[in-house]
Amino acid sequence: MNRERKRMWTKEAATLAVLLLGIAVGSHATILGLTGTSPNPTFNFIAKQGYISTPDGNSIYCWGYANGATGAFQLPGPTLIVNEGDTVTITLQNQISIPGPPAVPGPAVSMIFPGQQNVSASGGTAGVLTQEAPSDGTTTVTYTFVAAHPGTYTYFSGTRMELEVEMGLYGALIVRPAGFDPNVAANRRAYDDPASQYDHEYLYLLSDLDPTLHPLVEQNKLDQYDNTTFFANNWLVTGRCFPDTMADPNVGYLPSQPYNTAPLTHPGEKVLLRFIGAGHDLHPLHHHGNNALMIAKDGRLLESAPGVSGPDLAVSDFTETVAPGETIDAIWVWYGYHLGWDEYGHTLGGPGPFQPNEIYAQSTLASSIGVADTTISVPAGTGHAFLPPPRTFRAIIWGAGYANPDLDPNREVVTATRSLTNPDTFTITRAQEGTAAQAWSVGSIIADTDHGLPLPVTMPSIQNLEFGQYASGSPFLGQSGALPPLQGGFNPYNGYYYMFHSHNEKEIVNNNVFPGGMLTMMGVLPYGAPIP
Amino acid sequence: MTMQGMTRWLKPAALGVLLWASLAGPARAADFYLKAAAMTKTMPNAGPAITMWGYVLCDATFTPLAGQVVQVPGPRLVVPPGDTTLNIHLLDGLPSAGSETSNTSLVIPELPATMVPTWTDGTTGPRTSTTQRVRSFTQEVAPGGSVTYTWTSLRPGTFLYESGTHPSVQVQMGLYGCVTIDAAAGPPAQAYPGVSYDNEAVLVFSEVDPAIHAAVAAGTYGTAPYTSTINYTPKYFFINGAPYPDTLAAPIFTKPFVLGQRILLRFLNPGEETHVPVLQDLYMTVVAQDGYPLPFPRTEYSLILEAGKTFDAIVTPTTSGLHGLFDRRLRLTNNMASNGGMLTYLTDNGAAGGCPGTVGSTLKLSKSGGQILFTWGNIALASSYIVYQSNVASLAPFTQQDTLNPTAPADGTTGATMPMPPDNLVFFLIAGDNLAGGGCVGPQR
Repeated sequence: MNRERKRMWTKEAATLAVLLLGIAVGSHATILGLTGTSPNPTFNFIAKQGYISTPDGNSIYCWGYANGATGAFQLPGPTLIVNEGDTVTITLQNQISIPGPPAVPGPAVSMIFPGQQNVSASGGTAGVLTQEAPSDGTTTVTYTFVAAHPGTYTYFSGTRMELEVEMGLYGALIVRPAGFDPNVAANRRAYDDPASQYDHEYLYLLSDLDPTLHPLVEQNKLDQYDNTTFFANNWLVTGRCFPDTMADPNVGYLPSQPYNTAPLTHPGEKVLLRFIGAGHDLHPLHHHGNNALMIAKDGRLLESAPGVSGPDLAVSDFTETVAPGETIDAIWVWYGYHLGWDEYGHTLGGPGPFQPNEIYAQSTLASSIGVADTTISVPAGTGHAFLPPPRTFRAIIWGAGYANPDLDPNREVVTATRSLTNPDTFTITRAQEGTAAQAWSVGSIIADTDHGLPLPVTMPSIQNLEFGQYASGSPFLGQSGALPPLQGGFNPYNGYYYMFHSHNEKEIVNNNVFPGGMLTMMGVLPYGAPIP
Repeated sequence: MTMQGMTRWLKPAALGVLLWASLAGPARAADFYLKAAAMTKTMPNAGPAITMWGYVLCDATFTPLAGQVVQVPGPRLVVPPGDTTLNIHLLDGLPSAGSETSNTSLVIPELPATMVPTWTDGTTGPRTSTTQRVRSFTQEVAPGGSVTYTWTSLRPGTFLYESGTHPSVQVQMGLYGCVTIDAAAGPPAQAYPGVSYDNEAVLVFSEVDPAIHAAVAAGTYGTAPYTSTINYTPKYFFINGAPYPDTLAAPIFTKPFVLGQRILLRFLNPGEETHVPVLQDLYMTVVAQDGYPLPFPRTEYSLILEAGKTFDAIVTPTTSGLHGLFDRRLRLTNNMASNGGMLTYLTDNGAAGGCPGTVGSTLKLSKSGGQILFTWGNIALASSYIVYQSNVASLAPFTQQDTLNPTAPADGTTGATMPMPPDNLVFFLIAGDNLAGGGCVGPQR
């Protein structure tokens, strides 16, 4: 785990430096929300009612926190983005009026903030967990706390939760670390620790709803509302079901669901995934393309010495099980790690620039080898960066005087396996892919890379293939190919698209219609493609 | 409930059931005598009386000890640190359940023991027929009989004990409880080597589907519509055998909870669902799971408490007030009624080093002559409250002191009085079915 982390992050740091030289900065996706005015941000929430749209054609009566008198009902509530140390004040009023018939005032509502300590609540009436605002539209409850720790948090109603959370009274709270600056790479962090630095951030607020319960509330049949028979049929990411998750934010046809989850990145860039459980159930959110490094839970880094060690207990995995009420921060990075072919379609020796993320591990020869040697050694401590045995990897050896293997006409492709007992010793098979065995001197470079590795299959005829909306027609990043009529078309930059979805597969439907529900597509775009 | 609440906390040594091997120091055994029997639990808000199966702590002749009644969860079994053997003697006092077996057994999932499976035809030993299925994980006992289970590989930890016979029925009928083994007695006690605590609470999360209980009680379980527990639909959700507000009817802490102390929360889930306990306003440091200490404790406010799981966590509240603890999977109803289920509070009983004279936010204590005056705020009153008492200086375990029957106040300000105890410096914890709080009165220190 630690080895994995080190490998990923040290390399990404190098990658980023190269990127900064070659590519315009400034496109770093960020999460939409209300920021208020530091250091005393004040938010005025009013609980309102309205309808959300689901792609199965349903229009579902819900409740939500709205931004003040002019803010429309929305699901989820506004994402609050504040700074570490801010004194946050939230006022809450309640305008929920159940349509009926007969129309009746809605129940009192409230807000609780797991992970925030010493929350003071005043006004309204006392409930089981905090002060509550009755649905008179005028009584104001005020919650105040100091956002003492950076991280990802959630808020939701602390009143009749089995009803009010189901109806939509929940949202996200993000606390930026001190010194956060979205325009300075080193200060674009989730936590104070530099290991939480990222390039893009996306919010995955996961919830579930039972569409049979909502009409009972709408029609004032609360006596029939039975949470113990809850059976979800819609699953949402930040208030929307797929494919609406992929639409733009604030689109006119989803007036109550302002937030999208349409993540984009470039190879090698760090994507911060902020997961929040907001529904009834645990959701195994699975990300394709690469493992992610789970660095924090419940707004606290996973570290052996809190505040000191950094996230040394981070876990690399491909599914984050997000429990209701819980938050998880994970950093996901894509590059063509052992994809099995050169994702840029390059051949060894060119044409096309050698891309920095094509190297998965690199070192030098610690001793010279002749043309017949089958064992090499690398400087002590550098072998750990390579794939552990018994796995075999493809590597290229080239001369120290060349910036990359394309420039060295004598480069040699080998297959290599690390020794079981000494990680700095490799057994190699010489002269692969038509290259010739060479005598290599000390300091020659060896790199684990798919650079120049041809596509290992012959592409079938397009008549024999079915393409999805995000197909580019080419197996290579940034390239397009022929597509049948009416297929593809959603991928103008010819990126790779990876499904991020609940791996509880019944949750990627909209009321039984696949695909839908708790699903988004992560787009990996070629370098230079803009990211909003 | 009152006596259960109290006796659950009493260590077996105090009850005289702890047998010490007479000589040779290291080999010590803890012996507990349990009788499994039926009981009924009445749900709040004029809810139904549900037949459950529970355990009662007995003497060596299986006569219930003084003050002990059949309870769910079963009595907490505290194995003294250093004991090398645990013996649980089980008498099957379960009623006939029709075609459903009333044979029973007892297992501790996380502690190794010699297990002898019992097959569905009642035989034990090697499997002789492909029609045999396992009915009991270990040797079972028939109604009226008794059996002794022995564990010799003990280690510190928080463990579940539960029925090992037809567990899909018997465990959810209520045959479960908590075994704790500390690493050192203290003070401060150590739950695991190096993990000390000043106070503790056991939090057992479980659920009840009354329809299945009714079928078992009527002897019709196994016939339609309850041929199995496959359609288990729980309606009541317990912490320590009671749904909110009955969770407040007894103290969850062993003794007064003082700000700044390390409080060990022992989470157990003998139910059939995953619950997600969330702490309001607090973080906890998770130090162990399944009775194994974590090499690196985790700081979090939520736990994924799966069925069969145990967690140990330390909280150190530094601010006064009610800290909610609830199941974020929204098991927060009593059947369909809001404000129920898996909800309770971690509430302090006064600030460290002083006597603030307030309890929660709605109850105040004051001293007047030889009386203590309890003043309620404007809340709905229960018919009676139980007063538990401890001492400010010694922080001794709570003992039940008095029962108060306040008159419902017209203006919400009237209270009740009880005599001031002679030691003049006491902690109180007041428990009723709609209020729990504590405080202390007496001279300021």
